[in-house]
Amino acid sequence: MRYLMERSARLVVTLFLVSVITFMLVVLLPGDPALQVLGTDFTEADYLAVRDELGLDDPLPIRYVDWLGGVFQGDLGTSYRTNQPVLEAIVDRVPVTFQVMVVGLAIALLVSIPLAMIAAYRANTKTDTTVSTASLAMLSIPNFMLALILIFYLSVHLGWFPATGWVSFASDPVASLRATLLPALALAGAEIGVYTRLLRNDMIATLQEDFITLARAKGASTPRVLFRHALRPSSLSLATVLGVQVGVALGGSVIVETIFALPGIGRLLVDSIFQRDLMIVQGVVLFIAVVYVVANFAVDLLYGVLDPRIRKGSASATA
Amino acid sequence: MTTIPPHPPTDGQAPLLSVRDLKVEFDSPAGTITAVDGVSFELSAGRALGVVGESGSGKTVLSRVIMNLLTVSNKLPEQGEVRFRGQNLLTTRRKQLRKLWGDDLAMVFQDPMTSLNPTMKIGPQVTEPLLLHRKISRKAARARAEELLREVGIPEPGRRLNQYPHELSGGMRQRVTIAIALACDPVLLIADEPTTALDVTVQAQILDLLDRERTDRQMGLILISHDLGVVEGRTDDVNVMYAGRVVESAPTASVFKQPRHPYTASLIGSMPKIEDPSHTRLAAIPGHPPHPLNRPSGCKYAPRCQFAQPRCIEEDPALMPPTDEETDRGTACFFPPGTDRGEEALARNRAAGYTATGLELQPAEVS
Repeated sequence: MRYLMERSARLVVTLFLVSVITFMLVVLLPGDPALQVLGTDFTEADYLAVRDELGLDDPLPIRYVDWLGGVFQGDLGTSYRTNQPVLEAIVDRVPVTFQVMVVGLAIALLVSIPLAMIAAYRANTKTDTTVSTASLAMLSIPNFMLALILIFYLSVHLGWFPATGWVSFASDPVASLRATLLPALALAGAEIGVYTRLLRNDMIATLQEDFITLARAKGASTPRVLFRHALRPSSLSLATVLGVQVGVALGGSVIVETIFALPGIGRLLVDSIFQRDLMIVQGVVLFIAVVYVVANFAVDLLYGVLDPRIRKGSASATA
Repeated sequence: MTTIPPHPPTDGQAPLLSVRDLKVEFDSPAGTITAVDGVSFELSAGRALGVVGESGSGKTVLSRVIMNLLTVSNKLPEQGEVRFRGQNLLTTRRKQLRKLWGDDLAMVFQDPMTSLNPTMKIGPQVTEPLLLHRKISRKAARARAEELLREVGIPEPGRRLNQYPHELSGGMRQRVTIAIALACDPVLLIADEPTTALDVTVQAQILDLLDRERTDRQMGLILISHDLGVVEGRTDDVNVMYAGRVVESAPTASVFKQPRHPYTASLIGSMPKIEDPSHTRLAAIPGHPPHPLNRPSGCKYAPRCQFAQPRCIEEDPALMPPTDEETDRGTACFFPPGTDRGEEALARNRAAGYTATGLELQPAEVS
């Protein structure tokens, strides 16, 4: 329990710092938000009225508290351009990004776990070298490059998947998954490389352990030894990177969603930056930061599940 | 080399385990390393064999190879044979071996801190061999696991099933690994230094437990240790290993009464005795075991041996009965301690002040 409390306290502090930094983002960026709202045709009185309405003349701490109070009530402000509430704009776009991320992650894990196991089990053989080289190659291809290659071969050449565009899962699940697959693969490429290499190395170390020899001495088959006995103790680094990778994937979605013309968070961020729609930028950055922090909090909790020795609170019962 | 079966099975049946001229080598960048060099012995059901030797003598490799459980990528194909109930395990297919492992053949490892899976509860670890080898429901396996834990002396066995290894003490964990080994009633148990990692107070308990289970189950036991004291009184026979060889093989009681190999004699001499006054200097064996890549051509022990004669440098002694009368034991020595030849050799070295290999002797030393 102490472990959980400690992690939670850290989470709160991190979230506070995140909120301060995202708030400062809008304050520090050049350009007067009031001018953005007003457009080109306005009077001095209009200008002052808008500045007052946006609270731009208040001292920073007050503006921060006002803003944070709004955030807690789900009010991230409204877009300067469309007057759409920022939260609504984000909520509209999130399912797209998450669907691509989750499918990408699933593909990455489904490919890299077996690959890493084979490579570790056959360490220092041709199989291992092939897997390691291939994963280094995967790791080295930038996601926009992989995206273009995928579009070129699988959509333009073979016509198996749509090159761009989005169908929501609710309206047509099959078409939706078809639209998801290429961007998900583009995101998964580098992840496969990272996960395979990490898990292979940890797995090789685990396979040297006495408890693995004991598992074999019990008569367990190789797949059983690998999955049941070796996978969990080998996956701590993988879990760590998985948390970090959430941030990388969210960042990657900016590029991938632009290439595949997907209406996700990444696209929203890029468009808003070009349109200097700072309220949206602020909201999206805050959202990404929070997701990232929470994902890593979840990873911290996952450590305890993966390795029970980390749950310090329960280690008291030594007989 | 010529070998003799040191202890023919007394009941006339085929032995449970028969190892013949076993040789295990590893490929290394510096050359071929011979870990086990022509070892032969037999073990009958219900008997206990001690294997004693210092680190690097090849006893752990031997223990793994007996089960054919050694999977190091640089291992060269083994020579000789390991027959378990007549079946050569070295040529048995992996799939068949898996049926024997954990069922008829079981193993207890040195360090219970590392031989249990830290991420699995005790319950699934104990039930695993049962579920793999017996047609038994999960529930029945769990009940059996609880029984096994009770049998090996673990208090509150029901609660332990739901605990993780790190919640148990070292002695408790070793009891758990023994319970795992015993789960399917093995006919042969190999215990590789089962007490080395444990507190002295727990060591005797674990050894007694192994002894009791062996007697109750009429199970063959190979007890591997670097410590002669562990083997004394708990095994029927003992093999003393040095540099990959068995240098002395004899009934345990006879070995302690009169060792017939200088190395065994020194090992016994280096054991602290309770009747010694405190602060008595321990009798250490001079020198180090030979490096596996650079072993002497004659007797491997000659450079450290007080009995060494010119013949020991030129010829490599095979395991032979030390005297014409003692046919139940073997020694790989031309000048066995306690025999006329041996005493004569020792006296000659004492008189000269050094051995044939140049080891200096103190004239006043008593053997």
